[in-house]
Amino acid sequence: MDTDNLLHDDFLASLIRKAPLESPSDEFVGKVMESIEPLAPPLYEKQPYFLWLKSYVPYFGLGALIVLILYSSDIPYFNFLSARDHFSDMFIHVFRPFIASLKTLVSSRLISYSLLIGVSAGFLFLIDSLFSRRFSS
Amino acid sequence: MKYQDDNFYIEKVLHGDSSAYAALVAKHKNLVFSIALKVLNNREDAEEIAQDAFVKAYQSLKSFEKKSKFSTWLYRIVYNAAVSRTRKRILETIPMDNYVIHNYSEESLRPGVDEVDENEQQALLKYALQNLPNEDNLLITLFYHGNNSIDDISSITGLSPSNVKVRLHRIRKKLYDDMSTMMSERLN
Repeated sequence: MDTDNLLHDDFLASLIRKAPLESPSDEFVGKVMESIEPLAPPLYEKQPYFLWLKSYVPYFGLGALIVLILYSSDIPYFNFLSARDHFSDMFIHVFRPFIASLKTLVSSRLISYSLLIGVSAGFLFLIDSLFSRRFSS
Repeated sequence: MKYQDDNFYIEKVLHGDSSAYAALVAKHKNLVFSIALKVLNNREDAEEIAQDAFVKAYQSLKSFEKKSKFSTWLYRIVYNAAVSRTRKRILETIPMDNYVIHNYSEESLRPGVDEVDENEQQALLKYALQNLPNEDNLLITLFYHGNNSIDDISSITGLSPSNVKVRLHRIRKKLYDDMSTMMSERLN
């Protein structure tokens, strides 16, 4: 006989369950009910639309980024957009000064390593804080 | 009286019908009182602690997340309150090395006890339960009367599940031993 079966001994269980439990006084329920105040019913406040939308902004952003990457990639069936025509050239014009300064920065090995570590850590921190806030109870 | 599931009353209370709580109190009062009594060994103190536990559970009902059963949550509240009153932990952990689960057959554990009539069985059980320490009686109450699982009891008392299991084995063996001894004495 294994240990779990030993615990579920029907003979002893039925014998013990037939033995009455100790009871408190007859006024017990009344005394408890006298001590409690009615709980306020839950308030169902309608969440403003913009707040609801705001909570989904990170997901919309992530979705848009994935679509952008997919549609500008070389993956078959998704590659009908030219990344160069649609995005890269446009971004290069807008970010040219930024890219130029970045080029100067990353020419130093020390700065480029620091940036690499910093950006990776920042990205991990952002992802962690986003998901822990979303899924924590 | 036939009671509904605990969640039925909980939902009513949370929606403002505080009178529904009376049914929950009536449903669980004996077990809650028994837990307090087995820890405190004093009826007046046990009743006071049991009342306080019900009031505390009511006040915290909004924060009850239904991760465990309501009864398990309630028993934990009353157990902790009673233990705080005595200012000692009544259930000490048993080292597993000190206890060997023997390879008994169920029949060898209850020789002859199931052959006497029911009234006699109840009398033997009453004697055996009186011989048990209060803390062992508490585990018996939680397991057999409260229908709590090993994990539930572990969560209520703070003992590890393996320790609860070991203690229940030991108690069960002791109950049968005491019942058999008492029966032999009566026969001789």
